[in-house]
Amino acid sequence: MAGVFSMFRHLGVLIATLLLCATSPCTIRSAQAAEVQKPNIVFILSDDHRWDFLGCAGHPFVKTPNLDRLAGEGIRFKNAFVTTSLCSPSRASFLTGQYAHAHGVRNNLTPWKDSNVTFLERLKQAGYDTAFIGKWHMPGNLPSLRGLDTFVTFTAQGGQGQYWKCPLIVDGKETPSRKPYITEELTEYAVAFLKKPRKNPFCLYLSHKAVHHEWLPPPDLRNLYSGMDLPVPEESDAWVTSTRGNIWAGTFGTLEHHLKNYARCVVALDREIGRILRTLDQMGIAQNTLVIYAGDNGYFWGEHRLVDKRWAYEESIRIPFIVRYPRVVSDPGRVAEQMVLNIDLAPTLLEAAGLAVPSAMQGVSLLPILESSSAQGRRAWLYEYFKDFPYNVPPILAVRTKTHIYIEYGSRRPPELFDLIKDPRQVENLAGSPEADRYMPALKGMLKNLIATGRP
Amino acid sequence: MAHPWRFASKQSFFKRVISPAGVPLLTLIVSWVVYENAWRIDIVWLRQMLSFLSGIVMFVSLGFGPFIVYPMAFSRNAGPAERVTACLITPILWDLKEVIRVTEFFTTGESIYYGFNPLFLGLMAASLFQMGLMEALCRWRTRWGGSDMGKVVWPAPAVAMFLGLAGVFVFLVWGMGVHWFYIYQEGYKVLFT
Repeated sequence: MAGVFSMFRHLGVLIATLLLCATSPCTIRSAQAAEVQKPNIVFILSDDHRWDFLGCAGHPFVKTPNLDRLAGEGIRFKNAFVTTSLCSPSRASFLTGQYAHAHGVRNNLTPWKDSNVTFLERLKQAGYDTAFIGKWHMPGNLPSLRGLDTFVTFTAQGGQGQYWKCPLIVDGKETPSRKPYITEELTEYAVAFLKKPRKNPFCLYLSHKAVHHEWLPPPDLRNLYSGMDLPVPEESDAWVTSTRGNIWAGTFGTLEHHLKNYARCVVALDREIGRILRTLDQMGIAQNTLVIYAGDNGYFWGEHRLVDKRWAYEESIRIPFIVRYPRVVSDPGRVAEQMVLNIDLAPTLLEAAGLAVPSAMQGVSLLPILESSSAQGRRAWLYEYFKDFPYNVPPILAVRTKTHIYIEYGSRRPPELFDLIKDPRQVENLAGSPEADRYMPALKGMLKNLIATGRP
Repeated sequence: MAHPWRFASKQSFFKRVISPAGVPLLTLIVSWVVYENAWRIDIVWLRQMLSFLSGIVMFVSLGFGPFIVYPMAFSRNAGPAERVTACLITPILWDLKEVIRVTEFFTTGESIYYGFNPLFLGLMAASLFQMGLMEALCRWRTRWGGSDMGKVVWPAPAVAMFLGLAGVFVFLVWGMGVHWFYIYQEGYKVLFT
């Protein structure tokens, strides 16, 4: 009898194990990851950096050797997007792994909720040393973020900070700027955090003001591109920065003037990212450090006769997204085609650290894509934008697939449908055309499902 | 003796107010129509040139109208209130057009609040400065022409110039306009959230 019971017990364990394997691949991967040394994490977030203002993305004149190096040693995600193209909501999405409707930071006016749980908090609970350095910029007072060992930020100019002599708040204390240029100053704090003697793995969240308005480059870059005629979109003109409500982007002056300064700030940012990478090299920890670079949203420079972001067009919703993780990526230099989102960051970091991904997180871990180029990506995702006074943009809901985007506006503006393969510049609105009849029902269904369940 | 540039008798309301106000207003309308439609032109250089020039004319007619309107109204014997009205017609109509435009994005209350945005306030302040300056210049020129208009600089235009400059600084120049913008946004939060 005992043998029969033993047999059933073993069989039960076997079935349970098989069921677990079949239903929870993430858990297994997490367990496997936890067995080895936990990786260090460096997440660098820039502000308003367009996905194509990168040397490695083929930009015609901007040179970004350090970000190119990162892409060459890791994976550049060609189809990376934000779920809301606006600073505060997007930042909250990176931190929480949630859409704006879930974390509650709907625009630049709605406050951060202290009940929100960030990946930094979870990593701290798992034994990480953690630092948040740079732009917080979410409405309301600075939060007492749980799970932070170091919190360096600023509140000047409504939390936007300023390029020169930006007063900082270091662990709650007002502190004058040491380096005059903010991108250098934040890098100083980041390098100091990296170099701290420690036994634990670390997670550095470095969030730059650059390359946000007012685009003030450091002195040695002020004349870069000065004599150059910049290519600007054919539908734009010199004054597009100041008309049709675009002026709220702070862009009084000509398009060329601002665009050159923007490009200069990108170069300055790249230079400082180089310092971070060199520090990791010098410390001999690059191999076990997961480095991710991302922008918080895209930016229009005259496309669609727009400046700024917010709208659900490609220039606005695409972001640069580069991951270097030598321990996992076996084919460095790959350009990944899968669609990935800002809400994927938090689950990715947690899984890399061997932690379970909470069900409240709406993103998915990118580790499978890092491990294999043939991993499946998502087939569709939800874009949402909430009214943000006084910016001249209506509320937006959209569904973006690999080939189309369907956009609904919360205003009298009619819906839009674009075929992104045939019409990548989104010039021809197909809504109302016979072609739209083929796609609209499915896209509307997906949008409805995404809003209701988060799944298409 | 007739004054070299000022009419001896009071002109009609049309000539005193509407006609001077119409100069920047019509210029603004024409340049705006050209600017908004230049992108339809297929010839790139022509499109770029037209949009560039019409943009400049549009900004100048909106921002510097009182330099033309005020002396015109003054020379036609428009009263002080009429001179001010003539100068402010263009920026106020432009602002109304903007308020109507943004009803696509905002509620009626928000759209009205939008009408008091820093750019409009800066524009009004700039107009105030220009009116003060032009009043002084018109008086100076009238005196120089032989008429007795009293002092060239007296409190009203001086105060207008001072307040106008201060307004331009606060609304548009202070922190490159950023500081007042955040105050404006705080006002929005108080009123609408």
